Parts: sequence; structure tokens; C-alpha cells
Amino acid sequence: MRDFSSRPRRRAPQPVDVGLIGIGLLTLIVAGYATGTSWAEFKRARQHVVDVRRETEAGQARLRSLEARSAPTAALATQALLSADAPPPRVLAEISGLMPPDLKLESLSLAYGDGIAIQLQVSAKAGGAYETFLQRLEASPLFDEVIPGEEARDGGVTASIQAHYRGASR
Amino acid sequence: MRGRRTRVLVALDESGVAGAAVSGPPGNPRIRSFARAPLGPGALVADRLDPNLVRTSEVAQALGEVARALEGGRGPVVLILPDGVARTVLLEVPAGVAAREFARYRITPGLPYPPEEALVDVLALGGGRVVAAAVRRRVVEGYEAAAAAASLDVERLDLAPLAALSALAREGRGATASVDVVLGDRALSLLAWHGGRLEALRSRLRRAGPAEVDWLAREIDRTAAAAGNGGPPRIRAVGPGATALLGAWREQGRAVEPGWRAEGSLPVEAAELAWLGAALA
Repeated sequence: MRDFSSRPRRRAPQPVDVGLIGIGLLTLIVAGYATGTSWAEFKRARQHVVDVRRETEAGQARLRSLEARSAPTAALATQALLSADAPPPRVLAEISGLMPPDLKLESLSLAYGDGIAIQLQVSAKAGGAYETFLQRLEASPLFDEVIPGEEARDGGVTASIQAHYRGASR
Repeated sequence: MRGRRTRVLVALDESGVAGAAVSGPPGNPRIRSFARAPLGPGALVADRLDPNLVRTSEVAQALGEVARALEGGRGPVVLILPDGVARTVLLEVPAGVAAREFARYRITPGLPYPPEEALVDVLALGGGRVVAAAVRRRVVEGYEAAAAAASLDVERLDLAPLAALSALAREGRGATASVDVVLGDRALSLLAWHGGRLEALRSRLRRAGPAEVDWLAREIDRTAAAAGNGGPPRIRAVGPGATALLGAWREQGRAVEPGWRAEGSLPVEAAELAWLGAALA
């Protein structure tokens, strides 16, 4: 409204002024609410990040633990595979197939690991049978790392032999 | 207690101070109270250049009397200055230009005082047209000093011709050529309408007396011709003496009507109060 006053006067608030003030206050309230909501969401998101990071770290720790245990696990797996592929009766049969008739198997020990370690105790009335068995064992493609052990010769022969069965790797 | 929509107007002119408390919507106002206090001759002289209040204390006393008599007269009031204190001009404001700034740019170069002494404001009429008015600061300050002495809480200052025009412009004109006459004690304004558009605005000092009827009729016709109107225009008049002038022109066969009417108890016709337009717009 026009005004020819010599100095600006305090004008009574018009309805449009009150309306604008109301809109301003409403905007302020909405902005404050939005800010509060955003802050709460930010805190929730930050907590979520912390949780995810903690879970990730825990997962990595579990992974490291599993990786650390992977070697024995692999050994066990190999052991299981060898046990299925070369069970003791089969190894025993292979050894028996190489033994001369007058050689007697006193004991047999099989250790399943990366391979099959064999510990034999044999006896023979004559030393020739023992020598023949050693030659056959060393010549056999099923065995390697054949190491003759202690021998006792008192008319007959009693001896121990270490070998490694490699039949599973053929 | 005043109603929320009650407006209190206090107007000054050479013959006295008058005021009214008006309620209701602008198109259907109701006069709740009215008061008038006469001024002695020469106490107030409506002039564009020099301070108008020759006897400030007398004017302040009259203002105080009116304010005390009005319902809500101690609250915010609109103080209305008389016709004759301002330079008025009809302007067409270019699009995108602030009307008040454009008015100052156009009106101040022609004033007989420095531009910085001019208080300029406008009445928008629509269609890019405004009536701009400039009042000298020292003139306004004289009225403000009297109002302060009377302890009036002045909400704003208006001019009687603009207050009247703001109400007259609300009435549709259609295609009829017409001239509005806004009368003051010392000066008057002539507003020529054509096709619902204000085409001409002129100001004149009054020539009170028996010859005024014919002299003013010629001025009306001259203003209508300046606006491009051919025949005799319809005449509306408000302000002191409007009722008598309209009656005389009616006897001459002219088409006339009062500027407005109002409900409520008034000791005079509402059309006699040009400043009442401030409550009607």
C-alpha cells in the first residue's frame, strides 16, 4: 500500500506476511526434522558400516584359520584317497606277490600320509630268499625308497625293511 | 474494541479535520463512527512547496479532537493529506520496471525542488498504468509533526485524490466515456476514462463560487476531449461540494452520479468525503 511518510514506518503485518512467516516456520520445522532424520540415518549407516567391517574382519579371521588348517586337511584328504585307492589288503597282496616261498612276513606296518610308508619285518631260513625279496622289491615299480634295515643272521636271516608304496601314483 | 477489519481514516483539508472508523469489506463499507473538527481560515493552506500548517497547534488540536471521538482513533490510523499538496501524473510503466522507481525517474525532473526532497509513490491501475504522486518532504513533515503532537499512531500517509481514485477505479466503466471529479477544498483532480481505461489526469485549483458549476463543466469536457472522448461524458464526483455540483449539472441535462455511497450514520453524503475512498478500495 502506498505511503508518503517521510520516514519508513512499522507496518502492521498483513495476511500475506503472516502466511509467509507461517510458510517459513513450516519450512524450518520440516528442515529441522529432515536434518534430524538424516543425522539418525547417518548414525545408523555408520553403525552398519562398523558392523559390516567387524563381520568382514571376523570372516577374514575365519578364512585365515581355515587356510591355516588347509594343509592337514589336504593331508587327510590325500590319506583318505590313498586308503580308498590302496587299502592295506591290496598293499599286502602286492608285497606277498614279491616274496619267495621260503620267506616269511613277520610283521607289516603301513603308515598312510602323503604316501604309504611301509615297515616290514621278514625272516628266512636261508639268506638267498631274503636277497631275492630285496631285489624284487627294489625292481618293482610299485615300491621305491627301499631301505634295508637291521639284519640278524644266525643260520637263518631276520631283517627289517623300509619302503614306500607308490602304486597309487601310477 | 475495534473489529479486525475496522480501518480508521483521518483526513485534513483547509476547512477542517475529519475522520471515520469504517468496517466491512471494501465494496460494502459501514461507517462505524464519524467525527469532524473545523479549522479557522488560514490555519492550513494546501500547497506543494511550503509547509501547509500555518497554525500547527490548531491543526494538532483538531486532529486530537477527531481521534478522541472516533472508535479506535488512538490506534493505527491512515492520515490523508488534501488535494493540492502533490504533483500527480499518469504514467505507463514499461514491463519489467519497478513502478515506484520509474515514477521517481519521470516525475522528479519537473519538480520545482530538488529530487531528494520528493517523496514519491504510485497507485497501480492495471495494464501497466499508474498514477504517480510526488510530495515535498517538508510538507509531509509538517503534517507528521501535527499528528505527533496530537498523539496519533499514524500507520501510513495517503493523498486524498489517490485514495478517491483507488475506489473509483474499482467500478467498471465499460465502453462509456466518463470523467471523475475529485474535489478538495483548494484543488481538484479530473480523471477521464475511455473504454474502461484511464486516459487523462489533470489537476486544477478550485474556483469556488457561483461560476464554478459552468467553469468546471467546461474543464470536464476539455478533459474528456483530451482523452479522446467525443460527446458529453458521464460525470461522477466526490469531495466537498460534490452533491451541489452534481445537482446543478443534472439540471443542465448531464448524466451524473455520486462517486459512492456508504451505509451507516453520516452527517453528510458519503460522496462529500473524497478521502473515504481509502476505506472503499
